[in-house]
Amino acid sequence: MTLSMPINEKIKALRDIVGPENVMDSLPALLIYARDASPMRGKIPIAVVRPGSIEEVQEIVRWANETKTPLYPRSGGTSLWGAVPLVDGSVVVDMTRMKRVIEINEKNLCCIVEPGITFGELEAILARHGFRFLVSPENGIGGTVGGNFISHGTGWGCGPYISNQGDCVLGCKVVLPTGEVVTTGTMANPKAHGHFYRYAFANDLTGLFCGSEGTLGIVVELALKIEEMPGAMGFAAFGYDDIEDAGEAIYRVRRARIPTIYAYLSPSWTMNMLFPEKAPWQHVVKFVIEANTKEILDIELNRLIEIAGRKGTYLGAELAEETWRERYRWVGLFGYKLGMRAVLPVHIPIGEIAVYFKKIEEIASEVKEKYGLRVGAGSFMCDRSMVVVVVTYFDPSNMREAENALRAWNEIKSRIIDLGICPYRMGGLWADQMHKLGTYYELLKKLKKALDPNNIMAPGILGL
Amino acid sequence: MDHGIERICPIYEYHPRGSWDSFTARGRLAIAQALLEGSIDITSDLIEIVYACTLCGACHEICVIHFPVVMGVSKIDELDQVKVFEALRAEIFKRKPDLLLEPHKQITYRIRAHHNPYGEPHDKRFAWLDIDIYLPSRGEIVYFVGCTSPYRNSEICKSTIKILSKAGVTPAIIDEWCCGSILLRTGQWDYVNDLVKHNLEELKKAGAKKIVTTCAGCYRTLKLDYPELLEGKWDFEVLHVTELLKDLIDNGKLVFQGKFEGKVTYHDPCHLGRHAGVFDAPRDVIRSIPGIEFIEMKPTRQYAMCCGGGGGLKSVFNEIAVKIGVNIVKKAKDIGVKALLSACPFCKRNLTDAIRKSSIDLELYDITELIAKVI
Repeated sequence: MTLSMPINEKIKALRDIVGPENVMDSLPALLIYARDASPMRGKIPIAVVRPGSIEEVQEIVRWANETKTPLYPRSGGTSLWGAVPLVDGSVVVDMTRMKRVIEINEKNLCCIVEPGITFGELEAILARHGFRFLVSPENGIGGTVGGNFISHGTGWGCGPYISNQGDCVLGCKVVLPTGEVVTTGTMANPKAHGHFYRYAFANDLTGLFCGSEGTLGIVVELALKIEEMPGAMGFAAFGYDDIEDAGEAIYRVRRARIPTIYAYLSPSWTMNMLFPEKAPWQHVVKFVIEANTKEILDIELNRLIEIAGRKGTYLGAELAEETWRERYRWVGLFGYKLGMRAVLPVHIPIGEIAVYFKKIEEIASEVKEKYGLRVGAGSFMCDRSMVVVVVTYFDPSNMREAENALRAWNEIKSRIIDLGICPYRMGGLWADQMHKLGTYYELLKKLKKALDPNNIMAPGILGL
Repeated sequence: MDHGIERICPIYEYHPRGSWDSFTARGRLAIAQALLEGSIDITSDLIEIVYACTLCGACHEICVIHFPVVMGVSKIDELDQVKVFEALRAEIFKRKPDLLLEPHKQITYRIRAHHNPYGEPHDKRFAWLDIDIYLPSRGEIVYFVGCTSPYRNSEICKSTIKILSKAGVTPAIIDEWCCGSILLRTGQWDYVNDLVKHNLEELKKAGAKKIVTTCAGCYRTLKLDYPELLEGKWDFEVLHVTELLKDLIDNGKLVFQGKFEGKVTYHDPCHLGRHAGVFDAPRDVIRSIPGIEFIEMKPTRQYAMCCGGGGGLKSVFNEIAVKIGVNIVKKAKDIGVKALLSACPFCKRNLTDAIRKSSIDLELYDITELIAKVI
């Protein structure tokens, strides 16, 4: 990509668009923008720009086309999969200034938000109106709605009917790579009565942007489904001696459509590593369920205990309740207990939990043998899938160990995709695996080329 | 159930560039790592980011990350952001002392010359003491008065002596020097050992067993930093005055004669609460005052937002510090209290400025002041 304008002129142009206070170009300030929360290091951008309106985003994108400047949209910066600038000379478009709740439309059961709002902030605002959103990531403090949507975010709230954030979005407004603005869902027709149905007007173009990780434009508004607060919530945890029984329990609970909003499996080998003081552990499954009334909850909780308890030991409510209470601090509290993390989030089919967990355990054991690094895993229900988070732990102050962790990370990644396991949230990390998807990848490239002829949007991300 | 999470980093909320990632904890951690790796130079841009922090530790509470060893900070099993930031500042001072911000340099000069950061005459440290009160130079309980209270907020030390005398406690006072807190926080570590050594000798000379402080900064420094700096040669029980007062009240040695009618709330000083875990004693003392109605101001305890007065921020970015303080004052006003209480002269100073700046009608007391009114 040619850079046709000197850097100082580029900075000046950006300042003219958004005001000098919304452009950062000093090296110490730029360091963090070359990273997300993964061990992957990106290229330090020439500047970070913070637009405050759709018009400013459009101007930035048009300017980037004229000057052939790569743009990397960013919001919370908490991704774990190398959502970082991958080429030199880029500008990071930090969307955290655009964080308004534009509308809470109670009639349509929808709220329209800008992408930079965090889940913690939005939860507090919606709660004041008696509403909530449906899915939030484990890092709800720093994680933003926009970032979660464009990376197929999963987490708290996923259960029998909801598999990710995309399921909770009625439509979006996107500044395309050439600067035009498109609105999807019912509001594609400006005369529509707000956002109330996603699958309006031919193709599901909301889905085109969901998971696109900034490669097809910059999401500037999202219409999220909202619901009233649940009438009652219930908690239960179970221990299993065999992974088959743990997997079967989760599958049966899903099949019985128990109103689960979180079902988390911690395999014994990971628990033994994380909490050796209490080893040996069983495989632990924690369930959080909700219902509209206490009476219904009691019925569902009894069903849960009956189904999940068939081959497991009921461990009471506390473990699961604590997990829910600390849901936004969860990663900080336990995630880094064994060191820095190289994380691979992937999906496996809910009916084959034990099969895949055995394979992942084998890989973990081989990585330990080969690199001396510990690998853990945890998993939660996302409708017909289980998200598995495969974590390689390492000490970042030990250069050799850190290098080994990166090698192990890449090796596990390659093996996982060859096992038929489905990665998501791919960023720059999975770019070198995309060719394994054949025609699908070729189509993605064609779409990218059609929408972004100058390839200014997040080049390299998703291998595009 | 509480919904949502408030951001509690005061810089994020109130620094004009605070919401940029660069000015958050992870931005500073990235700088620390780059310095260690030698991939970045120390510049004034870098210093502006590193010192735009009150070292309140809120980032640590929100993101308690268990982590091995960073920036040479060992003996911990979790990443202590405050320690890393202090070490980062020390590294900057070691490599490029000339680039340090001028008000911070002045602090060192003044401490070297006068043993206090305000440059006040050392022999006036106890000028606030009434002529008819005699405090011995030897005793098991030593009142370590600090610098801010005697030189800037003497109502706190005066109230403390009044209370202790009413409870029959006569503390000793020593020829103390600045505890070194401000030097530790701003990275100017090279003179700290002299201060520690002097204070240690004076405490030994006095035959001290317990040290009582009214300053949360002194408390944190004597309680947490001195033992580490002296590597086990520190054998004193360090109490914040609220801990001592709680004990005196519980044992019937401090009895209230009057009462305070009205609602009050309490602001947790970072050095006392988040850093040292003293959350209950101040609240218990407040609740024991007859007539008082205590209300919590959310977020509270370990999630309380800093007043803005710490970490060397106020001396270099006073306007931001006061803005942060105005937030606390507004929160207190919003919950309808008559008075806002705290337990640290730094908080008192910054919140006083905040009340003045915001023109909000609110009474402000250090806990000792309020107690002194009702005994």
